[in-house]
Amino acid sequence: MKSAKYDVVVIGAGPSGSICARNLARSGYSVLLCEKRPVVGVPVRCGEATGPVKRLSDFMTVNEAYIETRFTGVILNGPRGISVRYDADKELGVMLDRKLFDQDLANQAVREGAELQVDARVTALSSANGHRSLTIEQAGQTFDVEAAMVVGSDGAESLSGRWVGLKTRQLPPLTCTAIELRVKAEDPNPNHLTFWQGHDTINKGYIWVFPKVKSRVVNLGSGELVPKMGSRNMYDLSMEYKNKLYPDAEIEEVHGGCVPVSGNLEEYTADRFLLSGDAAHHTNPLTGGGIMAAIVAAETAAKWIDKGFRDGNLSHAFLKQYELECWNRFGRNHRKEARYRDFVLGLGPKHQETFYRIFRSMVAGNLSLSARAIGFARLGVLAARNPGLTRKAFFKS
Amino acid sequence: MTTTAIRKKPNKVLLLDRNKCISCAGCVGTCPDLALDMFGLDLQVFQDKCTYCTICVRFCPVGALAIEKIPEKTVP
Repeated sequence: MKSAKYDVVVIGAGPSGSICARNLARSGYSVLLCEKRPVVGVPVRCGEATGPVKRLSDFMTVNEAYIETRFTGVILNGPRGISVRYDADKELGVMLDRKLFDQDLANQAVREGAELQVDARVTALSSANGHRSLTIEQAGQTFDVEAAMVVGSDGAESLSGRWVGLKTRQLPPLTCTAIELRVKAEDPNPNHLTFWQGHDTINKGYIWVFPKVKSRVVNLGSGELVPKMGSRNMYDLSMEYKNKLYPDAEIEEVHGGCVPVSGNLEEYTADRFLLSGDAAHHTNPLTGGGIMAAIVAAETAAKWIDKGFRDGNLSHAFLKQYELECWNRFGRNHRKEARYRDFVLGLGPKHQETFYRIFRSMVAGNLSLSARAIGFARLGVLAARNPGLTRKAFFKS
Repeated sequence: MTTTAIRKKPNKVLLLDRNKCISCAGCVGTCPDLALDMFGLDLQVFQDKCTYCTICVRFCPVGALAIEKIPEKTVP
């Protein structure tokens, strides 16, 4: 550590932490970015698909080096061989090389003047008079650091939030366990993301194939909500699909992790402390994607911290406004998508098949106004035939 | 002189198979007792904190964690 006192300490150099550190450093604050791992971005723990370049470039300068694929369509394989294929005429999103992406973002933060320390574990966080004090361990040495503000973006296994007393723990069944194999193969649909879901394959989650064209690999993975009792070995399931789809291909890497799919936490700020990204469960509950929300949250956090420093007020009540803005920018949408998810996952085998048929006909009609109107009317009938599930999914307080 | 035990010595143990573990740290976030932590790419289990609630076992995507009973004999 170069000094013992910082304006802001950011825990975790993922997309959220790096963007927050970058924006704060740009505004002229002294920022320390702590990463517990020896190298930023390794190991990757992500499916690596995110929104289109157009949206990403609102928050950062996008470097072509880590754009792997620009996908334009989605193939969703439902039960009984019902396949929904959607082709858009525009770019729906991109596949990233997360390692390079994270490193580039951390570099951007350093270039703006933030101090990056790798292999630095924050082991304790306590509240003191007018500041927060942290204990950081690096290469066998212990440092005590004072900070006016602490940002916890330490991912799904966030401990910083728990030290402060926030309920960041991943609670089954609203958390996903996922595993991904990086297979050296080329997918027949290089511009599409492919999913398998439904009672025939995996009901409380999905299996995915995300092709990375530039580096000629395919991310094949599976994720499932953690069951209340018993468990399924996701590794075996992924291997089964790997053997079916790419029997001779070599596996380059295996990675996994947990995906918080509960929607935004009820509370993720405290005095001189806030959480952003996966730590605050800023993940899309339907798809599990969290890069975009993490970036939006980080930008919002940086904005409110800057405002807080100007007003000289970093209290819990003030930082609540950050929670509120996150809710307005993506939290409300996430709750809506969680409701759709609960509805689709709760359907029985027969009704789920009907749901996929309706969905297929809507997509076959190119999502035109009439196709959507008919589709939603049929979905209404389906919802009326499952009154208990509809009430549970959509009308729960 | 004999002393009375304050806490019963647990007859279970949380086992970690390091050959299977892929260092995803998913279990760290689910543990209610902070009995698991990552050091670099190394997962550490703190047996004294573990309460054998099995959440991490259900969670582990590769099945590297297991809770097993210690046979009666080995408990002193």
